[in-house]
Amino acid sequence: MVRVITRRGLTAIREGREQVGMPKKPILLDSGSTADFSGRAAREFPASPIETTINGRKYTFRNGYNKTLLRLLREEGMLTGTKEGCAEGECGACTVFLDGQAVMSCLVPAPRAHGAEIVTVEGLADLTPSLSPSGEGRLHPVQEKFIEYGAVQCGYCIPGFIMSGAKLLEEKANPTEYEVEQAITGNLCRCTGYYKIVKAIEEAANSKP
Amino acid sequence: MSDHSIGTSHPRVDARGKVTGETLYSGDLTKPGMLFMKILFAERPHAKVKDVRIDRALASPGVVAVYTAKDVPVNEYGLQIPDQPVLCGPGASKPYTDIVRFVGDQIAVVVAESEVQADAALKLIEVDYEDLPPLLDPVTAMRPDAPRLHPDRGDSNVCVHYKIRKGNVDEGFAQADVIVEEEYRTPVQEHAYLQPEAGLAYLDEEGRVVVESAGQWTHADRKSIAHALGLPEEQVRVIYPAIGGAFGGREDLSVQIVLALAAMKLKRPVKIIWSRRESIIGHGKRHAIILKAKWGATKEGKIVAAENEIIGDGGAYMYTTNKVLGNSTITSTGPYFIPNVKTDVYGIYTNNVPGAAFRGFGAPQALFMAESQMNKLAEKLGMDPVEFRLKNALKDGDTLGVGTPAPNPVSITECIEAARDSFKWKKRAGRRKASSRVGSRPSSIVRGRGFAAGFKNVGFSFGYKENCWAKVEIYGNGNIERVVLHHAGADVGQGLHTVISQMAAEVLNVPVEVVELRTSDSATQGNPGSASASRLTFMAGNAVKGAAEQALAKWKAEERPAVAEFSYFAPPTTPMDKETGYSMPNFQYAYVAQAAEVEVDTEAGHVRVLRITSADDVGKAINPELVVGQIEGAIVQAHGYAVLEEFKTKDGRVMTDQLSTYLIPTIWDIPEKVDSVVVEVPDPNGPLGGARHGRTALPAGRRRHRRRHP
Ligand code: FES
Ligand code: FES
Repeated sequence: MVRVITRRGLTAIREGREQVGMPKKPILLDSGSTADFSGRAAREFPASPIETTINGRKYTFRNGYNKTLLRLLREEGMLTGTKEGCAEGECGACTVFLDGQAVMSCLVPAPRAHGAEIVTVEGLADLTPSLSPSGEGRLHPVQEKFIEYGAVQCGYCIPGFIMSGAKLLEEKANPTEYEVEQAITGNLCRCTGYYKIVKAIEEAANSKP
Repeated sequence: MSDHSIGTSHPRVDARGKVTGETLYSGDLTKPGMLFMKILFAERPHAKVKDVRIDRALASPGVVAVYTAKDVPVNEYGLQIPDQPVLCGPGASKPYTDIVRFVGDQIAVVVAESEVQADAALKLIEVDYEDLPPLLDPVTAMRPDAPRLHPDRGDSNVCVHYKIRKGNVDEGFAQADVIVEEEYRTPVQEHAYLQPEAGLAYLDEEGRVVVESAGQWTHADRKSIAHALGLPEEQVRVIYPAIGGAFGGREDLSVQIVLALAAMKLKRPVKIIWSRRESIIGHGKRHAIILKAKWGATKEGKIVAAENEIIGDGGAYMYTTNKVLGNSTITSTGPYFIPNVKTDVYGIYTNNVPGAAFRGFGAPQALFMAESQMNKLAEKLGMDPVEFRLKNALKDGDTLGVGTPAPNPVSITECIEAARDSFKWKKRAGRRKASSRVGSRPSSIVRGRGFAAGFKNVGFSFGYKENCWAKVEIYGNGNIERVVLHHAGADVGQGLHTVISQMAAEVLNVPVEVVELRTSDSATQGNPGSASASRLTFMAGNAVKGAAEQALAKWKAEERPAVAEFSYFAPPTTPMDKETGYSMPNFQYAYVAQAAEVEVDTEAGHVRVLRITSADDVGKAINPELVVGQIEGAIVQAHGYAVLEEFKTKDGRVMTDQLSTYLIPTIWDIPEKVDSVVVEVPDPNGPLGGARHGRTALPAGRRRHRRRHP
């Protein structure tokens, strides 16, 4: 096995084929990072609190500086839509936007939230007011299509997939199927088999004006 | 007025909450004044607990209580038989509960003001163990001279033995022109539901102990909890919040009893969330099974005899091993008519993680054996494997191994034909080569196709008196304005709540949106039975239909509000005869056939499934989209079981205890194309035109023998 893989690797390099099958421009789930660290000086916790913006609202946390961002959101912010499935970056159920980038919040230390702009699944529906004729409460197209195309079963993984899907559409308005797949390689689902999830994200891209 | 509600793919009634993050799972619940619990696991496969010292833990900051075996009123539990200690340790109310029998046995619990404090105190508990040699191989463990793991449960580690004696296999083999004799081994599989175990327990206004946690059968959970706490059942209340997947793995209890114990003693809310590691070592798995088979057929392609020996690793405790292996027994001859059958099925106690219910419930392992035998026989006979299956497929009136016919309608022939035709079985025969070259080298990739068929029980079977309760309330004046449907059946993700809403709407001729659901609360609702054994669409469907019809009759008689409760009793079944297996074990079966096209890299061993066609008979599909979702999900789970997942242990300890080591399929590990063919052969007993099952039973192991090397 090792012999086969090594030989294949070396042969591919010799023949200049080592890039074959790699995406030229991989999906990064980053719509242009807005991180601005000026004025975010290192602080002494817990003497000074974590001040952050979540879903457009200001939060001040005096506890939880030694938690992960995921636990900060869930336990201090009471935002339980973001889920913990593994706590080691495998399942993607904890995906949130941190300064414009989709991250697995179980791998981010809570203090990184200081001065940052965070969006969780609870804040997604409000992000697209321009799409909403009646104003309030309109779901994000990715959320709508997940419902419409039966992409939800137990639902525990779904907030993570919704966040990855939504960020993908910000990064690329018209992704190919391959790009949709790239966007959700970091998300595990044990129920659906993924087919309907891919379909829902594609449909969300198509439905955008 | 509505169009028909059933037969349409109404969006899931719970989807909105799940996409917005509003839906609460057990780990999301909080109460003021809530305490946190952590559990000390044994982390060793076999030992006697000599002493548990908790003083240092008790003195640790924030700690409110530490409980050990001594504190459990009745230190035993189990869904089928109470053979598992709640906590292992000396001084308990029951003998032999000081023995640790697998790594996930629980020793003590710490309750503290915060999770961090509970965790810190856990490390201060001192336990003296006397390690015992672990029994890890079921074949060794079943020998008469093996040390007994449950000295109070009979004189051997064989916890289950089923026999089938039909006809005379010796005479059968004498008629055979070809005989195939093989041994197969199927591995453990981890459920890996995305939501690890969690729960919140507290006392309600009536002083009952409430446990909010994910499970599969509210009333069975309640019974086990009440038994261990020494309380009457009415004093315990089980509520299911949203459930983050189950697949059989939540049939047995995990955190519920100790949570209830702490809430009862402390009179404060107590919460626990298991980490992924705790979940993986702490709950049961799909049984690893050793299957030996000898099957014979005539040159005309008729199977004449089958002799099977099946040894299932039950692990430390019974869980549902008796039921799971019962189902293996019945399905071990495949969906075929075989006149002479001799089968012995054993379930064995070992020091491995317990074997538990897992999608397919013992059928996948047995069918993997049966279908592998079918392929090998067909090959020996020089016959097309699909034709060979059709020649032997069960027909209405044919007897199963248990000596009685399967209840009508037997639709395996329809499923096989549908899978064959939709897959274009004949046409794909020639497609053997993938591409001929990769760069400068000839390709090592070959292509093949495979076929398998299967069947599985619907319902708990073997004489269990199966019932299911529902209640319907109708409000309004002239027109029906509001319908409230009460049902405790667990929606584990399969979509039960949507399906029963559709059924109520259909009977009452109202839009689905008019139906409000009250779900899964043992204090206000009757027994729904288990969300397992593929039974709920059938059982709940009949219950909801009954309640809705009676409520409607009252409504028409001008009762306001019109309220009716209804309990549906399934058609009776009988247990297997001890010596021959003779029985009418099930009131219904589900049938399926699948075809697959696969590429195998013969150098690197990589398997790529290009296409799977699955033809599933569901009776009448209440919600076709949900059925397709079940089929797709089941296929990917089965695919993981066959080619990717590997549960590794070393000396009884779990090595693959994280999602980074126990790998389940990602988007890039799944079959490239799944065609779901929904076959609808209505069942006269099924509710509303014959619904059979919502959760497709997919014999997972079947995927493997599809990999026929050309
Ligand atoms: S919880 Fe963060 S990736 Fe699984
Ligand atoms: S819907 Fe259950 S894990 Fe994805």
